[in-house]
Amino acid sequence: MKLHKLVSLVLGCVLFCALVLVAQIARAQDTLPRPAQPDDGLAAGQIWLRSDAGTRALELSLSNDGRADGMTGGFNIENRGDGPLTISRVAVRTSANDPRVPPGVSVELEGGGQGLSIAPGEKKRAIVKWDPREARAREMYGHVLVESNSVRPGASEPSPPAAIGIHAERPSALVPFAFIESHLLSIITFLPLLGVIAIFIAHLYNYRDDRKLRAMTVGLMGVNLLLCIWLFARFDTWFTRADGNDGYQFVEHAVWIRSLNVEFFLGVDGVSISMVLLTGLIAFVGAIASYSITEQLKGYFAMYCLLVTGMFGTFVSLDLFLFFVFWEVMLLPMYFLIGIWGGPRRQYAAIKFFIYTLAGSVFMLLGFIWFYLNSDPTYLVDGQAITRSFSIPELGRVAFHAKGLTILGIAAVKVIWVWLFVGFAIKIPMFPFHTWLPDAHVEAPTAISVILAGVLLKMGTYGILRMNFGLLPEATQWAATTMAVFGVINILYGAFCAMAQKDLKKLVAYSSVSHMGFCLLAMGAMTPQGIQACLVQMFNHGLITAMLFTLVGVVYDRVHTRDLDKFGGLASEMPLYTAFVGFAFMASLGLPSLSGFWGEAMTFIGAFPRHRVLAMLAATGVIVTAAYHLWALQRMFLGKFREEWRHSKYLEPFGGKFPEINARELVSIVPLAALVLVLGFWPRPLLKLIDRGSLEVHRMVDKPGQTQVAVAPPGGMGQDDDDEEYSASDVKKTAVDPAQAAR
Amino acid sequence: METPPLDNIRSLAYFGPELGFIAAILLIIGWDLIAKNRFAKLAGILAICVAALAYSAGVSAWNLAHDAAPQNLFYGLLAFDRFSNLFRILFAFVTGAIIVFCTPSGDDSDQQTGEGRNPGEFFALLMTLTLGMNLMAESRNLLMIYISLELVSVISFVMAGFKISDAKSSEAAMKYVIFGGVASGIMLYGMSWIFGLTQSLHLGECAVRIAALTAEQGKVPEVVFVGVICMMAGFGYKISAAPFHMWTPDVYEGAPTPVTAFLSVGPKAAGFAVLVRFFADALRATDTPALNGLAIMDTPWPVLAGCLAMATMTIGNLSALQQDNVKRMLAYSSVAHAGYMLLAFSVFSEVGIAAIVFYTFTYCFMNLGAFLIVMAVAERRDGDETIAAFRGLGRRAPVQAVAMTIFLFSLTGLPPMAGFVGKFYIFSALLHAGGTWYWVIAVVGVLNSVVSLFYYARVLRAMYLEKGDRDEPTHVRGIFGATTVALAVPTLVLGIYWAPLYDFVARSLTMVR
Repeated sequence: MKLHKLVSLVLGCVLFCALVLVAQIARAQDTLPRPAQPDDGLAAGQIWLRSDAGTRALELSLSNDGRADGMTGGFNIENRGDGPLTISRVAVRTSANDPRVPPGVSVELEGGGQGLSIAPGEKKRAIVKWDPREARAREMYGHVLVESNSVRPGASEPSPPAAIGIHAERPSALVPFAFIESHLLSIITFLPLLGVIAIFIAHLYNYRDDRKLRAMTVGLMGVNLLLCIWLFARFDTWFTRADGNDGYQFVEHAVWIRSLNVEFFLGVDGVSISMVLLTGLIAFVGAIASYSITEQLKGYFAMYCLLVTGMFGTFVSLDLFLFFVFWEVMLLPMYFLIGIWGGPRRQYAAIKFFIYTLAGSVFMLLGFIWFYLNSDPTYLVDGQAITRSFSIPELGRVAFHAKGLTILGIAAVKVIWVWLFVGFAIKIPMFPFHTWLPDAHVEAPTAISVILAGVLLKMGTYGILRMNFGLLPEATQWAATTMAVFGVINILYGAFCAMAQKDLKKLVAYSSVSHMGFCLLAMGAMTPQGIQACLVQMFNHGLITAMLFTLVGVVYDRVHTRDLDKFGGLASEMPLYTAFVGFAFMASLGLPSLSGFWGEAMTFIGAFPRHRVLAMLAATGVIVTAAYHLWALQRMFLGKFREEWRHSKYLEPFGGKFPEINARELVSIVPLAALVLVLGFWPRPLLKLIDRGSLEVHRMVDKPGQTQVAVAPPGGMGQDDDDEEYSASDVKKTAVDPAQAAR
Repeated sequence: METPPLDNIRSLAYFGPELGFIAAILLIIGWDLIAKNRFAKLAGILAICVAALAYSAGVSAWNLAHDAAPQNLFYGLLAFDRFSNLFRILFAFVTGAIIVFCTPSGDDSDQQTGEGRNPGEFFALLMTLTLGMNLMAESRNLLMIYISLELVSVISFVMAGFKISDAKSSEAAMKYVIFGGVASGIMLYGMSWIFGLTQSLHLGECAVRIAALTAEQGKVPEVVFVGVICMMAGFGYKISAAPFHMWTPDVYEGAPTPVTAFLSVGPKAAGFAVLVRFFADALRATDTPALNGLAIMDTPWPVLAGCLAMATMTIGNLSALQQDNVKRMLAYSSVAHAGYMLLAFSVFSEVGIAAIVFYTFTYCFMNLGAFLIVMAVAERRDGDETIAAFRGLGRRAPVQAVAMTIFLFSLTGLPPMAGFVGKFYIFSALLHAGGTWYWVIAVVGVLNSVVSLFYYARVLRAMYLEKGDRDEPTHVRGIFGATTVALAVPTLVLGIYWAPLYDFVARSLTMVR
């Protein structure tokens, strides 16, 4: 076995050399010269901002004088050039119509008005204060701008003002809880990854007791659900853009890849909070429903946890790059979950799902790159000046339409809008991109169907609200009617397809297509009620369809068929189950007093002023919906029980009787049913949650005063005359707390 | 600001890595003759190889670290600059990885490098090949380009046919020789056109003359266009771009797997290095109208490179769809990846070149990794390299299967893998350049990466979704297992945090003038 020794020797040598090499490269990184300063003989001041602690960004802390409500921090303005540096203004980056920071932030130079000219090598200290008493915000992210005569080396045009990032977290007495609360979103997002790691370690140590993994996953999802409830409890429903942080709460903001201006940027607002809560709930329910999986549990739960991370991440990320990464991360586990643990045609369904979604998302990626390349100069969170940005709030300020760009001869905003829309529409799924959905649903295991219908479909509509509406409002106006038309097609086509199905799961899948059409119609109306209706419908459809798929799984687990025509008279066999299915069907067809009603009713209210004919057509869809639900109910549960089931091999262990729905299944259904009932009678908590967010989306796409207009605005792209274009120079006009002006 | 050329003696000081390889080749041959027992022989040879590679990479890294001044070596034959130093590091890394691939298994009959043949032979050839690649990345002279390209080609022929008893291997070598001969013939013909026009072989002097003619005529002279088209045959052959890719599948399938892995990464990267240098140096093709006085879109180069890129990607991906042999499939996939890199090349900008080089680095990890797993799997299945051999691998060898998943997803370009970041930079270079043409090829590019998912997913399907004919665990050799992990971890980590590598690459692209 000398060869083995030899091999390890060589490997050791290689590793050693690699280490030396890495060290060398690391050194090369450090010593490669930065672009040299042009020696043009002109002495110039050069500004250099660092916090007291020497960091790029400034972290405010409680002031020493014992006032618990004031947070302060200091930073130094240093002149690293060879000429005098003249400071003309030091101000917080904010303005009256675009408050980027919560109220109560101020900055002043230490020692008053003297010394605004800084000699080479000298420095001057400035102090930033935040009085959180005036603010609703829990945390504060912002910039302090320092305008000076400093010119960046090598730059020909005047540099933007230098900036330093400021950040503060509202102080809290309970330190560990404060930490969790300020990082709640990343904890919720990455906690499931812990499950993946735990399973990997279990695998390395040949851990055999796979059943315990189920309990672990359910526990993990339970903890996550509790954290989501925490999030819900601490979410401020009255929070708006005026309260700073661009209207986002629980913001976490850090630089990820500096050379590409990619940031780790999380936050929730009224649009995403309901989706985060829904994800938490559905992930928990799905974990319980996963008890019916018996094979390769390690792989299954690892993939499941990864999927949950991807879902949370997609809803909370506010950076396009980060969003895309999470969006795709979700795709990989889904492929395996359908492909390995699915039904007989699982391979076909899995690859179809994968290819469809990828095809949509690559165009989305091109769109994201376009956004990046055409964005306006701004700052990274730590204050570095950048010319392009991936940050969604920053991109929301860019007037893309006004730039008049074209792609292949067509207005660029329209092209990009369509690309993004197709990427999201595939996920919704919108006719004609819906064909992957019935296949994926029929083949996927119960829990994955629940996730797919409960959460994944909503990513399409969420993406449209966030990207298409938020970033390209003019193009949204241009396409709104088309969107509404497709919504109605979805409603009717999905409903009729559902009616034709014999497979119960396929029926539910097509009902999803139909119900997601309401979201499209509601969005296409672009009225405040419409956007609210879209969000309500997204949440309620998530609850109801998750319930439906779990219930389909119940009967499939017992007799391994879902063919409606093979059943009949089940009501006498499984009365409790029948009651739940009846309840879920009623919720799904929009019976008043159950939550499904609100989404549909509000859609009509929202859509009617803009699209009367479409709204009326959609209303006929409700009739078809009622028809297929009731017909299915009748075929399956009413009538005479088919006696041949008594001799079925599946029912043999149960003495030829259909076993009633069991406790584990009830645990996963009852919370959903309870919510459906409560929200049916009392939708206020949900409406309040999404209120500000939907108004914010509406504000972006609809000019004030148009809301009540009965006819759609004239075709073509509306000129956006709102003064929505902000730039760093705004600070000149309306600074909240301008420092003493220079001379 | 021309850098004055150095004379032969003074040039030697900058020629260390290549001298090291030459010494290593001689030492290997010598040691091969002296050493008596197999173990000592192998140990010595490996030590020499590793030392030469470490020296090459170390010196180049030192040069980069200390920002050594660029030089024209040997009266302008070779360039010593950041660009060539960067590629020297890359080649040393690739060759080092291949050496690990080639370490024989415990028994005496060695499947990978030819049965019962002397290891000295193989490693001496490998060192020569690395020397050739280094020279390719450094060449600043048409003749030097030709010679270094031929050095790499000839050695590649020999290595492709290294399994003499294997008919497929011999067939591969034969095809390689014939295609290579034709391609380099056409290339030489193209060079003679350029030489005829400019009266110089030195790229810098060619550039001055071509620029003068371009300014005179207000467009790129047709003679240059014809010459460049002919030269593209040679470059295209090295990077396996369509329509010069015909040899790729047969050679990749027939050659021993370590050689295939090497050919798919090393010479391809060298081909891109020489291609990039030729266009930037001799044709001054950059997006800033520097010498030619023409905007880049007024020259024929973007359309030429774009068409080549689209054809290469599409042909590579569509052909890969049909393949059952994983090695052959990866061969077509490597054609497609050459197409992606050509996409960024067609931009002719700093950003584009950075994207190519960054992509080469990421491609290195993922493609070597994928070939390594094919090798490890085939080794346990009596050389069966079809997709069938991968059935049920997810159960039989989970670590290998997970690593393969990472490599394949990375090759598809899905986040959070390195391949995604590479592709991201490529597409962002295209969109940055803007204009109808670049939008069209960008769309073709993204559609291609959707198509590519389909055939990569076939392997995934076999590994996880299908049941294998055997169920006992497949034990992979320890060294392969370790190398797999060593390649999979960077593939994943570079997808999550790639800032240091990209910054390093982006700062190391300056070429000597």
